Amino acid sequence: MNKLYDKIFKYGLQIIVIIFCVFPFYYAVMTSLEGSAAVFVPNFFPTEINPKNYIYLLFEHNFPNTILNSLFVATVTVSISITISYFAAWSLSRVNFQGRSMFLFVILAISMFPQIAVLTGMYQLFLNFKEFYFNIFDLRVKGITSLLWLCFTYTMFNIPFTVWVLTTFMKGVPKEIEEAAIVDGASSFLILRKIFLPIMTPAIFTTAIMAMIAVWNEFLFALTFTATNSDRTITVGIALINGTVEYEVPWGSIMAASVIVTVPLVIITLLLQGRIMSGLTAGSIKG
Amino acid sequence: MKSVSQIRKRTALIFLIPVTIILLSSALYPLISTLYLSLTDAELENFLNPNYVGFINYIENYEGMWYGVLADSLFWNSVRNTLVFTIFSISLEVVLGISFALIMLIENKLKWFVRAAVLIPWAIPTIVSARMFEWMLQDQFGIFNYMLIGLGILEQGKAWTTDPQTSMIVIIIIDAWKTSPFVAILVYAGLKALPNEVLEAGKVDGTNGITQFYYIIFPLILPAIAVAIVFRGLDALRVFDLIYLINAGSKDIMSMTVYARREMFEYSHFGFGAAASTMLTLIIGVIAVIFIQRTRLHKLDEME
Repeated sequence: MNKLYDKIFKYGLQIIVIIFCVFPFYYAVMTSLEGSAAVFVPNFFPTEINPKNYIYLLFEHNFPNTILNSLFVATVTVSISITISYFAAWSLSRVNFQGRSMFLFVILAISMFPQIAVLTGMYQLFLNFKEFYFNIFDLRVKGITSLLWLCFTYTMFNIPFTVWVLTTFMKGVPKEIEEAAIVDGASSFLILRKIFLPIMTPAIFTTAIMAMIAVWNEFLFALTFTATNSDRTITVGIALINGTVEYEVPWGSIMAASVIVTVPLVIITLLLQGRIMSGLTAGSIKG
Repeated sequence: MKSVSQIRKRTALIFLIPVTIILLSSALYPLISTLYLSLTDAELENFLNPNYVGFINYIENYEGMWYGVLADSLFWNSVRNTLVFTIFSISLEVVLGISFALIMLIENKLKWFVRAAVLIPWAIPTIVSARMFEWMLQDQFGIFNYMLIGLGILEQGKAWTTDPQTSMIVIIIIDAWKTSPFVAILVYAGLKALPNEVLEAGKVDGTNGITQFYYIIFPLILPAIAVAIVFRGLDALRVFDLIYLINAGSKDIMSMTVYARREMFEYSHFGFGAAASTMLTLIIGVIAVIFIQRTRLHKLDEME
């Protein structure tokens, strides 16, 4: 009897955790699927399935554009930071040189920086960049100035994280694997390409996904450096969804936008569960 | 001929050049120029060519009245809000995180679902979680008020997010929802790293589970918890999106970052905003140093 209680108690605890974590998201999905009348009747299960909110976002709102912008910024940022960090991680994990721990410490300190600490200086730099950029390029490409600038600032905020996680992962690769190649006289570049790349691919992939999620979710810089409808990223896009009538918040559409933005992240996270967990811990515990 | 290790060292330094350039140009330079701008009269019109004015953005006595960030009661109010937010949200997250981590250890059919569910709040953008909770807590149509009215606790819906008495609590709860999973994952990893015997010891004496946990397991996972607190704490001290989205103008919840950004981009007081940012960085720096000293976290490397 006692054992049965124990079993039920454990299942109960697990179900509480699952509901706590999943319910808000479930509720958003449900709201997003309801038509305008049903949205404003509170209930736990959908009373109707109506794609109206999604159609509104896709055709009447600038929403698809914000998704493309976010994808662009995330892809550029993550490719650059991963490439640079991969080489840096090798230096910081496999080679003993003076000042190595100092370098790692500085990187950690920068990753803990409040973004606002650099915002004023960053904004001034942005205005200079804009002027410089406008003088060189013609009008047609002006639209992406803000997005390029976001790529630059995000790269800076991603690099401490990606360097740190990749360094931790690379420390875990056994020494012997590299030593044989060193004896054969292989260059560091070759070692990184032929020996580490295959071993590190899963780790690089995980790190890239996590960096991508961070970029996808960023708000402060996106809000500061994008000014027009055409260059907004998704987080700013959602924050600015308003009703056609003042004081009437279009909750259905906001929830639909939230679901569109979140579903890919949730799917990726669930597929890569174990990897992301090890990535998160590599990013903090070992450091 | 150079030895292999010398060549490797040289290559290592070359590989570090791009990172160094990016960090210098996009972290160090803006940091220094923010410091400098805090000593100028920068506004929107003269932003590229401001005049040096000394410390008047920080504090100035003009005809018997005090001006500047340090004399602004709204600034100190935002400092207080940020500290309240940080202390309560982190306490809640540590308690929830440890509980979740222990529940994640339960081995049965639901195990996969628990681990998957815990990652969902972490993956959801802050903006989305803010909007989701705002909707659930909405005064007229929100499910939360609906439940409370159904249970007879409330007679009519309450505007939780805009009521000055509850808005801070709401923000702490949203933050705890979003980030407890992060703490849980760190603690879970810490628990997993423990030798099996330690966890088994707790299981055998099932009647006294809590005491067992407190005396045996808790001290062993304390380093993992300390790491989680540092990471979360630094995050909480710079909180921006959640508060900006729930109620950007409310002085009941305004955080230091919201205060500084508002000075810059709503009032165009860039010099003043830079001074506020610098104060914020200093406050966070001091708290971080004290905490890291206290927990001896800087010696964590040696403990491995």
